[in-house]
Amino acid sequence: MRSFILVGLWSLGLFSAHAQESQLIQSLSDQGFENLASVAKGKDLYITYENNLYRFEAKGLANILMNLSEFDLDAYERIHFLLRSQDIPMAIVSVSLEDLSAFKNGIIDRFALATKMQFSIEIDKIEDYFKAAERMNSSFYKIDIPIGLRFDYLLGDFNDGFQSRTYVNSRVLSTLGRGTEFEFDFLNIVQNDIPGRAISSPVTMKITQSARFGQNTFLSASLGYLPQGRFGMYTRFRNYLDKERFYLELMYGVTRNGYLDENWAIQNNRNSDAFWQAVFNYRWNKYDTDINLAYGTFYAADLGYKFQIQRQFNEVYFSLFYARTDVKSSGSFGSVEPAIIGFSLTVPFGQSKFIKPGRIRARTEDQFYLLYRYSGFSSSGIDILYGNDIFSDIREFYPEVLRKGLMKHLKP
Amino acid sequence: MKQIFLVVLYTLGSFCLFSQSLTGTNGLFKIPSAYIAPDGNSYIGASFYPKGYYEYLNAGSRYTAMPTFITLSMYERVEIMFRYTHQLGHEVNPQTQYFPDRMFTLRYNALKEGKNNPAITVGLHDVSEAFGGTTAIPWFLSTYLVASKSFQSNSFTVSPTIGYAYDVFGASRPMIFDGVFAGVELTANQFSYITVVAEYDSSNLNVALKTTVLGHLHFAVGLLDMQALSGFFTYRFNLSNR
Repeated sequence: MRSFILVGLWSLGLFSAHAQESQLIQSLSDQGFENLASVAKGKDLYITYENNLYRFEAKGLANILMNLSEFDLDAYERIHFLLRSQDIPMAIVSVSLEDLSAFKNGIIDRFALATKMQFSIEIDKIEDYFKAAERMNSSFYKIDIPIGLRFDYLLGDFNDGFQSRTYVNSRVLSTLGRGTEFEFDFLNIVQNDIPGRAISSPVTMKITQSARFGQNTFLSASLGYLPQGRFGMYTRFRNYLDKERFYLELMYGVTRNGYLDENWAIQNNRNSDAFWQAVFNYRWNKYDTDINLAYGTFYAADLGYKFQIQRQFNEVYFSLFYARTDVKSSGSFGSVEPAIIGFSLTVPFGQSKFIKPGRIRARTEDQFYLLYRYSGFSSSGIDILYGNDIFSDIREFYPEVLRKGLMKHLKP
Repeated sequence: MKQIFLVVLYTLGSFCLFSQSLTGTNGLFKIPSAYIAPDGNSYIGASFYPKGYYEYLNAGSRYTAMPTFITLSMYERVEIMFRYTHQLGHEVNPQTQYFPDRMFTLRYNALKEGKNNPAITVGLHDVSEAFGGTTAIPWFLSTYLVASKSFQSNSFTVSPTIGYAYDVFGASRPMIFDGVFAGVELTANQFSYITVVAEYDSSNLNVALKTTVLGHLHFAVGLLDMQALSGFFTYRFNLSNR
């Protein structure tokens, strides 16, 4: 009889824990997190989710952690979160419920909590746990319309010292399956005093398939009307070595120059180019810095190398670069420069929290980007733009970026 | 009333070792100091040079000049600055062949200030040509080593700075700082929102008053060569977490 009662109580406990876990997943779904699932393994609870609600991954995670105390999760000792992007698993974050409770009760601060938490991009084993799990609130076939600003400028013309062009850009993004994304981008010119061809027109219309394989290997292939006036395809292969500290990337693309005019008719569809690039990157985690060397062909099919140092401050990126290719750059006062130097700045733009993803959602763009090249008239060493793919936000999932982001965004 | 005024001033103002100079880098009034602001600190600002104190292109120093700059502590020991300088009233057109100057500066803090040692920093101003980024004439090139140290008593904080500028790269023009430069900043602890500066910039003696308001806004006004009114203002913000 006694054992019967014990079995009954044990079953009741399990049922209660399972009910709390379901309520937690339902709550996350109600808030707008997507591709949700949970799996319990002994004293460990595994939750997977995708954040398309907050602009910055760490802020989304901080929000989830701060709301965990509303649920009775005493049956577990640790919770592990598997973060996804386009349903592709990106990073794993583990927190002890005891530490979380100590934080909520003011015993430890947000810096101590984030220091005690564990972060990793090694997700292969954990992803297997979710293979049979039921998913909630899929991110597929939803349409996102980010609206933002872009700005081009030209310095150094003696007839007009500062020329600029401002665009309002409207994109349409839709995830069609795991790693499969449709992207459409329309640029609407709202101000322009730069001479030359400029029309409000579509600038991107492509399908991208991204995938993650074992041993931290990623692949992305885009096909269609690509940024910078090209039709064709790009493929990018990236392998992380020693976690996120190093990566090697190989890119190959075959494109033709051309563009869609204001009537969406294809113009100037000629001059095929094959592009290739090998990129080696070292991530200096202490300072969230990428030290990056790219060798290969750049935007103007010019062959050469580009060395870049990029510092990340959460959502702000500041980059210094030096490029030398077989296209000489024309500098100020008629000089011919052997190389080109400059910097770029990327800052967050618009809302930090979007409305809940639905069938169709309008939101602000994530970022505003500003580039300064010492020789503005030069086409030497210009980066090839790939549009949105799995690599666009990948640095938000780096362990130290998540940790520092939590230090900023966690509130008791 | 006077007490209320003083309390308000005391609340709004604060002493800050890290403030910009006319050139846009961390410094006293015109000369640079060895201090680098904490990691992630950024400054946007503008300064004002009267006629005769800013020589550039064909017009020489016939125009007043307004450098505008953005300065970032990219790392705790590395400061970078980009500066875009207008000669006010000088038209950009094919006849004048004038275009505002753009320059880049990199500073590295080789030694942090300690109890018994000064901060020591290496400065490279307008060195794009030396690194192969451009063949344009560097009008504001300067390479130097500078040391700064702060001493605090119950009443005052004194921060002397001394530096030596030497032409490492074989500049095609005279450097902005050339030879020895030095200066001192003095702050009365009771009035920590105001700093008095006296300096020798390797060619002139300058004096200035600097103040920090609300922790973010820095203003300075001073006399170049003890006679020409000049000044700057900056806004400070931080990109890092803490």
